[in-house]
Amino acid sequence: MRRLSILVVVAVLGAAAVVINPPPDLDPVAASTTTTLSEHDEPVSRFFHCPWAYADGVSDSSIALLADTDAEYRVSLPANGEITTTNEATLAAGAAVGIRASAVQPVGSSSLIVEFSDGPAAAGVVSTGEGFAAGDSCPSRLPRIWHLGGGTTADGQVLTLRLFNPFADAARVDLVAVSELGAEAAAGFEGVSVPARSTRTVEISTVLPGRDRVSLLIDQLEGSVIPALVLDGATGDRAVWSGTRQSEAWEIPLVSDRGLAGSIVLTNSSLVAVTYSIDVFDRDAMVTTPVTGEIPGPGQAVVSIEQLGDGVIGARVSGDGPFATFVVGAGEGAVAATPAAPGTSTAWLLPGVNADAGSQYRMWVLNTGVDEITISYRDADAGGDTGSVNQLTVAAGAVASVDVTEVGTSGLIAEADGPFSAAWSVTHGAAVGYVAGVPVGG
Amino acid sequence: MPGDSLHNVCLMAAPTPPDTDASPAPALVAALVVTRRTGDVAAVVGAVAGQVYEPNSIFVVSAAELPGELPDGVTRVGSVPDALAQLDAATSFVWFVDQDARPRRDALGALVATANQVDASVVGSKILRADAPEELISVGEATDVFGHPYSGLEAGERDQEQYDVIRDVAFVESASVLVRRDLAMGLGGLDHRVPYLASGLDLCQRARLAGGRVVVAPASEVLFEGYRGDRAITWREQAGRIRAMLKVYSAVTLLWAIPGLAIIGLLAALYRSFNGRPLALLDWGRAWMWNGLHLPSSVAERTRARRSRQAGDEELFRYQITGSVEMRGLASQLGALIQDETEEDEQDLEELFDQNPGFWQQPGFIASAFGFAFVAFFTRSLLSDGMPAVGYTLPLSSDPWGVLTAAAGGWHLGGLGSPEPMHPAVAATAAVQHLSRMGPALAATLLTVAAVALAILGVVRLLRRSGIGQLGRFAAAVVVVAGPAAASLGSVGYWPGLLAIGTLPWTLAAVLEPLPSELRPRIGRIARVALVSGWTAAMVPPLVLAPIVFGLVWGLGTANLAPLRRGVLVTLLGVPFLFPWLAAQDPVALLSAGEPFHLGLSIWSAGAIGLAAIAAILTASGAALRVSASGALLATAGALLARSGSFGTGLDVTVAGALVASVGSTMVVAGAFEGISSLGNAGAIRRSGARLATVAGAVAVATTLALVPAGRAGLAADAFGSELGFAQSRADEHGADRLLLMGDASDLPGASRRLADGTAYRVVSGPQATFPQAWLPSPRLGDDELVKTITRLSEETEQRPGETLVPFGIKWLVFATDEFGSTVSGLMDHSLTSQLDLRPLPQLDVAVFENELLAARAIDDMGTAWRYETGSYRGPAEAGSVLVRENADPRWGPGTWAQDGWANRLGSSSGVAEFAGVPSLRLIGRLVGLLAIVALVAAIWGRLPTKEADE
Repeated sequence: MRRLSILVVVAVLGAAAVVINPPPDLDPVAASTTTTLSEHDEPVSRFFHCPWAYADGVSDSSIALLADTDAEYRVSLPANGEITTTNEATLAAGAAVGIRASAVQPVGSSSLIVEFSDGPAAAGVVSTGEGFAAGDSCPSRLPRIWHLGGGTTADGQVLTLRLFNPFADAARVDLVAVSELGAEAAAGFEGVSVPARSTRTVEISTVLPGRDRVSLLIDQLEGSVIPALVLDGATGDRAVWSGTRQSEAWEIPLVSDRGLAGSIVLTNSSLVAVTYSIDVFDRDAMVTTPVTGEIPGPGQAVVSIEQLGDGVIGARVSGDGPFATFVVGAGEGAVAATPAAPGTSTAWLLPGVNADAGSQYRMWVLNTGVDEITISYRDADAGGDTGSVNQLTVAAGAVASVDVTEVGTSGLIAEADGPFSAAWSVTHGAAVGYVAGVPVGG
Repeated sequence: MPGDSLHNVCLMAAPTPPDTDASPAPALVAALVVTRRTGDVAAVVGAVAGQVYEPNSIFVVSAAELPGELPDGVTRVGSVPDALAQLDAATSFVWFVDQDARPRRDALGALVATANQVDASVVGSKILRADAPEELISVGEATDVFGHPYSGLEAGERDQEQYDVIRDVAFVESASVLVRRDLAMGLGGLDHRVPYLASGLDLCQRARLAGGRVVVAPASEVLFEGYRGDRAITWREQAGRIRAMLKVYSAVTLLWAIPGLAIIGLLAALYRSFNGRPLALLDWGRAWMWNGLHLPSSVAERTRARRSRQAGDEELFRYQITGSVEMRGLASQLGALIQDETEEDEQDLEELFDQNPGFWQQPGFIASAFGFAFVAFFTRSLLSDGMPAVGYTLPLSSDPWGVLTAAAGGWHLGGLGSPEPMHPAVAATAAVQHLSRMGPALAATLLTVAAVALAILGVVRLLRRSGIGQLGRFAAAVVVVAGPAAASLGSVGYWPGLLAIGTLPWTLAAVLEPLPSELRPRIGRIARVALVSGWTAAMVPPLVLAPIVFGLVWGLGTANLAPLRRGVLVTLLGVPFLFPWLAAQDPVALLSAGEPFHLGLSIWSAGAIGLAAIAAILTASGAALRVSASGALLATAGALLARSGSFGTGLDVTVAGALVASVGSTMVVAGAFEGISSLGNAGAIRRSGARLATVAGAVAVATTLALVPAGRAGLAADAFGSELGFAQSRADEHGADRLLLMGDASDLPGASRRLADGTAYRVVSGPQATFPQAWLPSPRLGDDELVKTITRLSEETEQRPGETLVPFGIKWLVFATDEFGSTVSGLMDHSLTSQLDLRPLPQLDVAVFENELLAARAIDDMGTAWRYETGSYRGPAEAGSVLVRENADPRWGPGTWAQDGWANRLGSSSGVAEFAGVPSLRLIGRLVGLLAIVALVAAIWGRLPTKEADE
């Protein structure tokens, strides 16, 4: 009996020991299912990567920094494996400052990092001069696959890809080029390495000459790069635009300015075709007949502005899969291109507006919502908020543009009581540049 | 069998004993009474002069004046060579007689007759105790290659003429040695610089190399006064043996024999230091130092010996036993600890090998030899390659005193620091390291090997006290270090658990052992129990309660409260060694602190142990039943505790459960082996059940073999020992800063913390994670800030992670793994592939990013980084302040202190920044240190031989 009692106790204890499971946090599978902290709110962007600025005896880009809060900024030049800080100062809330590219690197093309201690903030580059006008917003986010659509190598135009790697580790990327001929089998586009803290350029027009429309998809195998296309038009104008991520919906507040002909270029990096639908807008309301089509995978689809209808100055593109959208314009002595806006926001920063004196600037806004909105916009100069606030009312489903030329400022802040999208254009003589805005609101 | 052992010293044909009456023409003999101290020589001179076979001349060799007058015909000379020079040419033999020898009247006659009969050059007498003439001291002796004598006699062995055969021997004692005159002249006689035993050895070895034959003549009996059992291990005898080796061995032999003797002597001295000879190490050193001082004369004697050399070392080897007599003695001593039923552990070592023939044939010696081989094989990788770095198995600090200071109310060395006391295991290991003066690597390895050996010895002792026979306790012993619980614990690299398992069985054995009745042994026992109980508790604090639990379980089985009472005593003795750590612990947190260990159960080993338990409990009787039932209760309860992490129990509690389960499993297996022999005339069914238990126990033992080939004492393979080596080579001039390690908790050294998504991380002081850093203190301001920083790092937008890590003094970010944790994945996928100031280090086994900015742990106003030195900082003594990036505490100083964020800002004028300490904890720490020293002294004192034992 005593033996059995002992056995029972031992059996109970042993069974209990056997059936107990380890604590959940010892189980990697269970623990890895917990929510990551980074999946919460969208963090404020503090780092902006400007893959292109230029200075020579004729032109000198303006690097525009715009903050909507008190912030310290730092401009750094990563080159030849080193990174050097060139400018450091403080910006008051609502202030913008323009730094000449020659102050960072006296001659030639350069790529820059702009850091802010706090946000919202944004950075952009504007370059204007006799016969050319170009501008670009500096990207902040770093997608794994970059889309760069809307290039051309036809008619003697020179298209250059800049791969900017400001980071401490080397990067390696695969380039996929698509044109009207389909996917291009270009040599040397696989495993392109970009050393740390340097910029690598690829002459697309040399590798793929004579293409009417060339788009690039950049798959980052290791590390990260920020790509940009620089298009030097045959007549002297220049367009610069950075890559963008992919999204299932895009807004294009600026389809064409100064009567430039052009097109909307849609790029798809996946193997599966994406069906798209373009809603077009004019100054009064949405045009009811959408344009639909398919983006081959991987590939591009080019929709000419004329194809969308007369008087169209705004568009919204949606698809059944992720893709990217660019708008390009071309005219006599003018080339322009920019990514579309990947959504709406209640506030936009337009760094670079008025950064170069002697040019004309115009803001474009698109309200694809169902309510009329009132947009307040104010110029930003080095001293902070100028106190001068202008308002613009935009009807539901309407697009609007307004001249915002104001000497002595370097940026524009636009806020509204409803979501909208914004872009801006710069003209210098016949030359035109398209530039995307930077969303900072909810 | 005493006679058997003498075969080891008698290898040549033995002629019949001589008939002294039938001797041919008498040879002239000169007697030399050799003195080694001042004192009356009348007795020995009288004995020499009174010989039936009268010497033709008698000399007393003494450098000093002798008390009293010498009889007529007896001449005093200053040295042996002087005496030899005065010998008559007709003299055939020289008879060397020691001052303490009392030759019987026919002693010389027997020597001369034997010399003539067998044509021997050196003939020695049979030596008997003067105070007990029936007891043998020596009948010729063997040695090992190191010259250590081996008499082959049992302690107190009576002379029954059992050895009365003329035999060739390695040497004869110099109490009475007859040497051919020409040989004595050539050799120069006895070496007056070496003591009694060594002089005989020296003379005989030189004689043998000169072509002489050395025999013992048992018919020649000599009484010897002042015999002591420990005479062979005095420092002078050790020194004499070394000198004897230097004189006779060839250079090739010396090349390996001298280092071998040094190592063996050191080990033996270490052992003796804790077994009644506290000055053994000093003696060892003195012996070598003496030889250093007398090296010129040794070389001169060696040159002289080589002139007459007729044979090689092989001739000496013929009369030597293989191996080391001292090592055999140690092994036998250890074997005796686990073999005999008496208080054999109180015996003197020398009794075992000086007077115990055939000790290597005893079961205890055989078992200990197997045990030694097992330990050597089980730990061979540790001995050859050093300790792995995995889990809590971390290198010891190179500054043990600094660690001890920190442990005694100083600054916690883990993470970003804290005034919280460190884990007692840190202080205990540092104390051993400091006292032993060993380097960190050697100390850690020897601690581990010792723990394994002690665990096996302790279990055997525990089982012996429990009534288990030799087979059961020897067979089951390996389960404690290589059974399922130990294997599971080793697989996560919990080194303190392995160290605790070395002393836990001894702690539990103390529960079963009544205290000695005499005061001195009683105090000694209590002190030893306090030390082992304290060590066990220090390694795994909850184990301090194990004696009570064991006493309760055993008491229930035997219906006796005494074990429980002793268990309480053992526990109380161990509790003080948990301080000052215990003083700062929250009792509830004590149970839940640390990431729990989860005992893995192998179906084969756990199943076999379970089956053995069931079968043994159902069929065994007596001690086998008690042991197997108690073991089963302990094993299952321990396993339950060791798997209770999901109920909130912490690291120490679950580890304690695993260790109790390990001991319990061992008891089960021992009971299973013992079961069959406990049955007597039981029926067939019970016998079958007992056999089943034995088979299951054998399977359990067999499963332990899986751990043996790796040779790491069950510890997991090295995980980050070499991976963090870069920190040493890439350290700045001011030293290595901190490392932030992230990954799976099992891939990080020691304790770690977790982010919200389960990713584990911890901070390590460069250049490597050390054992004192293994445990992390409770989070403080800096730790909270660090969590926020790491979280920010995982966000895609942060591109200057180096800059954000500078305030924590973090120079390197290391990902021990990228397979677990969303934060790690996020960092690896986004932030660290797209950041500006952390340089990835290529070609390392793990992903490492180095901060390009100065990330000093302490930096002054001039931007000079201060050097970190085990809890303190040193820098230039200049006016201004220094920012010390340790968790803020106003006791940092000297000079002005201010909180700077989560860190400390101090005046830099002194050039020093250090933590003043927590006074109360400092006092407690010192008291515990004092207690440990007192216990150590008492433990040694309690084992010192008493006068009675000497007699």
